[in-house]
Amino acid sequence: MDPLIAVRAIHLAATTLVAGIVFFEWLVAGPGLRGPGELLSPILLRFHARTARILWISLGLAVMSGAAWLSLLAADIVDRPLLEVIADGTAWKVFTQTRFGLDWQMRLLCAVLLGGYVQKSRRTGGFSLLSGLPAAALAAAFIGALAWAGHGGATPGNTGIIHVSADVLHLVAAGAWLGGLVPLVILLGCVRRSDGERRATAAGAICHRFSNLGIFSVGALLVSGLTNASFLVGDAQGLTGTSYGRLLMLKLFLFFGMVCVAAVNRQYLLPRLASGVAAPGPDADAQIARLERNAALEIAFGIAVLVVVAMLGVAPPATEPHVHIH
Amino acid sequence: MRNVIAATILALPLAAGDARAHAFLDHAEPRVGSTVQTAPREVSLSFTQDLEPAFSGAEVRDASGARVDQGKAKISGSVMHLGLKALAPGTYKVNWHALSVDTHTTEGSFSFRVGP
Repeated sequence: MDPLIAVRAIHLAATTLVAGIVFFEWLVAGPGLRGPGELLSPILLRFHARTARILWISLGLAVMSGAAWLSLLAADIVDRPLLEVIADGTAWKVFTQTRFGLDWQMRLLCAVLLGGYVQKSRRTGGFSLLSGLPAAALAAAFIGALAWAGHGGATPGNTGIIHVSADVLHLVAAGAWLGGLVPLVILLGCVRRSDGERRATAAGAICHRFSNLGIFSVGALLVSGLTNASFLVGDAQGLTGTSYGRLLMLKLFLFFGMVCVAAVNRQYLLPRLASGVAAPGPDADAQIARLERNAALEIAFGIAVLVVVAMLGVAPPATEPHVHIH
Repeated sequence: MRNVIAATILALPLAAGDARAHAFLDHAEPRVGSTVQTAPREVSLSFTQDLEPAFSGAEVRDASGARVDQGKAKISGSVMHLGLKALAPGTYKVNWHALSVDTHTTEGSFSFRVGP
């Protein structure tokens, strides 16, 4: 695999996870668990401890893979070896003198501020809807600004504003849904292994909140994805007759795989969990375990989506002419 | 309200234009392959996408391979300007390289002629 594609995929995954954890804690975990009562606060503490580790690792990985992405890009631009462009200052020139570099500077600042804010919030017991707002805004900026590093920021003129806005929305929605699946699995695991009698209620509240977030995210992904596709693919010929279009179809196939699993969760498993609320016991635990497995399956689909997105980022759009003018 | 939202969603793709990953040469002055009677004082190249000045540039050489431009090109948005020395009648070749703002590279060349 092209090292640039591999590094992009790692960076996308780490960034998605950072945004997903922040959004999940802000909109799902805090409100979903505080509702059922203080009895479940040990679950929240365990969850916070686990996601904190993952958040820090993801932030570190995002910064390191971001640096690697920039260095590989510098080597690609001047067609020289990686170590040479780092040593001779070309990578630094990309960082300080290009729009891509400016975007990276802004995202690095977001990562540092986000890390500091999350650390401060941990000491005060996590996010409320209000106190989590700055962290959510920083996480949205951290993932949304990726739009300027790809084709989303390439369309000239006023229509370019529509394109880049759609791309920002696409990235933030992907962070909320795909990135939120990992903390969902962790939280459901914490709930299932707890000995609280109201664990089915808690799991139901969490899943309903996440499912609602997922519906908004899928809607935003569809609208923004359709808009992006109209810029980058154009027509049916662009979809079927170019490598970019075929990669996009693969991404759509994987995306609908995720949507199907999510639909099973919402239409089939959540109502059964609700019925288990009345009669807590092994059946409710089994439903929670099934939800965890399905979320893990969605994560597997999601990882494949991110690899395809990394490949799409280095492929010329289907709408680009394939002739060089000399 | 729902109708307005639905109409907005449907209209979004209609507002789209073509996206470019690479900056292609759209047109140049003197024009590609043209013959001009008066020696130009500069060459200007217009691209299909905004350029990164730090990694884009051009040079002009005469038939013997000697450079006849005045050095670094000035770049603003998608347009590159390159000053020229006093050109004698003859054929000149412009070699350009460009980095688009979304970090894709292109390069190319074209000729123009000064004189009858």
